Amino acid sequence: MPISGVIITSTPEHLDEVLSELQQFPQVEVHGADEKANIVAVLDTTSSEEMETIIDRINKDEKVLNVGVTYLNTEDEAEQMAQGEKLPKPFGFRKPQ
Amino acid sequence: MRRQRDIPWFKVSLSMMVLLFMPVVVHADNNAKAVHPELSEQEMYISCADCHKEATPELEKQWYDSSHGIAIVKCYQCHGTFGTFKLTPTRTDCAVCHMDQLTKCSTDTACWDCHTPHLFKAKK
Amino acid sequence: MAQSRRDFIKKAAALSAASYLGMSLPIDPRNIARANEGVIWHRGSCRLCGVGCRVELGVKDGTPMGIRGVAESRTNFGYICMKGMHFWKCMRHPDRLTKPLYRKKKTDKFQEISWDKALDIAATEFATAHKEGGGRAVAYYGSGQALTEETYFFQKIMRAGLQSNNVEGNPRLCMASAVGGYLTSFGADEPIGSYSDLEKAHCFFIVGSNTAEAHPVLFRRIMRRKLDNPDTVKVINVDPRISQTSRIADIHLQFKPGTDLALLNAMAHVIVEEKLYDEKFLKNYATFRKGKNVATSFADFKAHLAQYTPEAAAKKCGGSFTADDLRTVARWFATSKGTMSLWSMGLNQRKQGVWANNLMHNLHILTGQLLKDGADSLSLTGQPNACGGVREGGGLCHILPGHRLVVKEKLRNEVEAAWGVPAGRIPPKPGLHTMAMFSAINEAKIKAIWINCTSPVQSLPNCNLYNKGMDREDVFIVTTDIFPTLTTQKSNLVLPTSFHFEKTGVFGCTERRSQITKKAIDSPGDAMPEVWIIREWARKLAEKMNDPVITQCIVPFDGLEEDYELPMAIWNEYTQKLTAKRDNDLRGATYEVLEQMADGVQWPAPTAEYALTGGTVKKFVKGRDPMADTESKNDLPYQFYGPAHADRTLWIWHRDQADPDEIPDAEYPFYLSTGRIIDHWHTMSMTGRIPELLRANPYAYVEVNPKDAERLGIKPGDMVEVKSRRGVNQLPAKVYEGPIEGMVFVYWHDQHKDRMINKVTKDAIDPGSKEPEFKICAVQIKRLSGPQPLRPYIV
Repeated sequence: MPISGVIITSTPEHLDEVLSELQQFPQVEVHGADEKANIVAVLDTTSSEEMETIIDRINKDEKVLNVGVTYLNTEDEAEQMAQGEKLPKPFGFRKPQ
Repeated sequence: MRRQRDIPWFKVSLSMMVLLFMPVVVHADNNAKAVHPELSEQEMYISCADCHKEATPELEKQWYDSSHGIAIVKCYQCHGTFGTFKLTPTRTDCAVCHMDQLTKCSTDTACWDCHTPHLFKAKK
Repeated sequence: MAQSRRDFIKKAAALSAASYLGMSLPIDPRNIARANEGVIWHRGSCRLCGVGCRVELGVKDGTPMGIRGVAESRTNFGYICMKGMHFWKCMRHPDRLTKPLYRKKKTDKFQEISWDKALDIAATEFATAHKEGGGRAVAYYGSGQALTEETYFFQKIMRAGLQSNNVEGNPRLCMASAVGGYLTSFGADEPIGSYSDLEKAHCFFIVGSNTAEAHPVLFRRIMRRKLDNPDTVKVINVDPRISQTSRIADIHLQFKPGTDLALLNAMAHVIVEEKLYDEKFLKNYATFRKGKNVATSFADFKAHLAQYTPEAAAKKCGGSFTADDLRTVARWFATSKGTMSLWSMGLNQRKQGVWANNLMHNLHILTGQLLKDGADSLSLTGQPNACGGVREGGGLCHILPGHRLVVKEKLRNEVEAAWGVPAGRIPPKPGLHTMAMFSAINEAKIKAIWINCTSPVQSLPNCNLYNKGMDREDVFIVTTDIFPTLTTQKSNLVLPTSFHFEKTGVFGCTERRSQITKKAIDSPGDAMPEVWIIREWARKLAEKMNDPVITQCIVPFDGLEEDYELPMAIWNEYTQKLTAKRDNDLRGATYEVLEQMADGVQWPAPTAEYALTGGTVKKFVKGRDPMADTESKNDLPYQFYGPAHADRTLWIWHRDQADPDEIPDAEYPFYLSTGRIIDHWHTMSMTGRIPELLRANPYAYVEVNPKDAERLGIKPGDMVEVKSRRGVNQLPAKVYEGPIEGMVFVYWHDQHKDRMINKVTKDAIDPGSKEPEFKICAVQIKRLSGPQPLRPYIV
């Protein structure tokens, strides 16, 4: 279950809207925001794949300028793999075809 | 903010493509936050410096002429790649190579308090 | 994961994000420390080039978490390159081989099988092949990336067990010419000096090496030396291609591929004409040679050089530098307070590779730019353990452990005695060298081959030709590797092995330095260390062939646990019994000593006490090399006790310019050369699986000189066909003032069938070193189309 720390950058006039939209995601914990509309949040997902999807969805929001990952911990997935589980996209790896 | 591209990348030369990106790079006042254009998987196989040579020529030149540029310490070594990108590298990132220097600095000082980004020289 | 730990991590994540904004959160920053709690840093080596950087792998709960350089290490002083920074990420990649795989026919699908069954098959196939054709029908093809213990143990079973000297490895493809050069010029393999000369050198002569990309951390040291002393330190770069390395050069001599021998001879010409040589040094230590048994004199040598005037050389080299440029370079070389030459494949991968190495050493002997601080003639090795494992451990067809030649009966007997096998057990004739080995596979003269930790399907020159042999159903191929490769795809049996931090063993880098990496984490799935695989395979071989001598080969290692005890016992046997009193005396470098050292030990190191000082920085110098004292024969300060020169002198060779095997003509008008790129290692089976490294250089490009590009209508990104008499590639173009006009350059890491440049390269070999001439062949260049969407390809 990966955990990441992110900065979600919006614009001051859209900050409140973005904050309320983020509440829709059970995987997102908001820790604060500054006057320039930088939001500090923690994402807690069940897989790297889900992590990627959520970041992508937030990023696609018109009112969001950027999602920057500052921290990523995937030690659970490594453990799962070590125990023989097969994960579709561990650590966000995408195998080139 | 977001731009739709309908020209497949391979129909345009590398340099043209970089020019297409230019308008979406924005700099906000002192916080200097840049918004990166969305890239297709194909475009992610172009090295950072190739585009930044034209998108942010001053930064690229600063880096290229720095000790990191000469020793080929590339963008992704400090900033990460897509998905792990960070605008400002932390002490931990620098520590991979510069552990011993870090032990000489106080722990509450960021590397960039003393070293100019992309030039890496000590601030006077 | 315990809930409280998840909380710590989440708080650390939030703090990390907040720190970017200068925002303070109501969270105790000590949580960051808690998130890092339990991370154990394991010391070891990086394996992605020959420099030997020391790193620490961070492991938490049995999983690799990060990496950092070791600041106290005298190889890298804490610095690591991008490959070093990221390689650990491939250790838990889902593509890792985790089960033995078998198929009877190469066209069948692989089935997972047990280790017992797998080893049984391997033993049966080798026993059958041996029954049919003896030692000549079996072969081992190893790697400069295998640990010393692995190479040593494999060759022991092959030579004493299966009575076969068909023991080779990929170092034949990269440094055999350097070995030939050191032996014929200095009488002893491997460099006299060390990396520590870099910080004392006043002139760098870098030839046939893109050090900046192939050995980045050493290049950093050279760069630092130059940038800190811009006026007093000179950097000379000599290469047909202007590269990243040229960026710090005061002067770059660009020459037409294959004319380097003329260039080096012309430098000697200037040194002799202008009397820049060191007369006393020559008198005390040097003799002149035309052939092994044909002694000449200084006067003969001078007469031989007469034709190599700077004017003639400048013309021969293509006219891109002047005779005066060459004079300047020769003067800098001869008169600096310490000149250090560095080269790699540009000189080695040539039909005249040994000669090119000799001519390099000639310049150092002539000028006395040797044996003193800051002066050395240093061949940069490409792989982490080509020197330690393969050159020293007996990993080539003509050499036994401890720099012993197979052809010498006395030396064979020493090895047989050490192993406790009957005298005469090791065949007296050297086995097949690499290209002969794969030719024998083409003819199915070799029936069973073991390929360890390398991918010849991609890395042999003119690979199309040899891949046909590897496809034969009457040649049994077993490979040991960590990832699927193009070579595992041609195998009958694929055995999953441990990555180097998942097992214990020693790597020996360029500067005679041996460094240990201990097991830090478990291997994934059923992957096993090679030393265990070899022992268990040999046990079954002994049984099937009913041969007690094979059993004797593994008796000393019976019952030992494979993660530490077994490799230690193998290392002890090798170092204590087979390096004793040899020039690579490693008796002092026990595991116990190596584990105490941040950066290992440089041989000769006969005692533990001496090894704990770090060993020998300068060979042959009394007071600095213990063997120079014990082997001393006179009052002179330097003693050349190497095994190859009975007369104990350095040899200056008459070596003429000689053309490469293939020269461009009307039909194939361009030179092709190949090389490494900084982000990838060899056939990219590891680095291609790391997103950061893959994205940085996802496919091979062909570099075309802008003038040639204009003539051929090639624009950046265009698809270009590169075709030789042997094979063809289609690659995207980089138009770049790198290669000299009339030459193209291609990176060789790409696994894709359209971009695998070794289909195009030539398999001509140096008659002495048997190293192929990868670096030069003739090709046609044609624009195919504009840019095309390409996909990286990894097996």
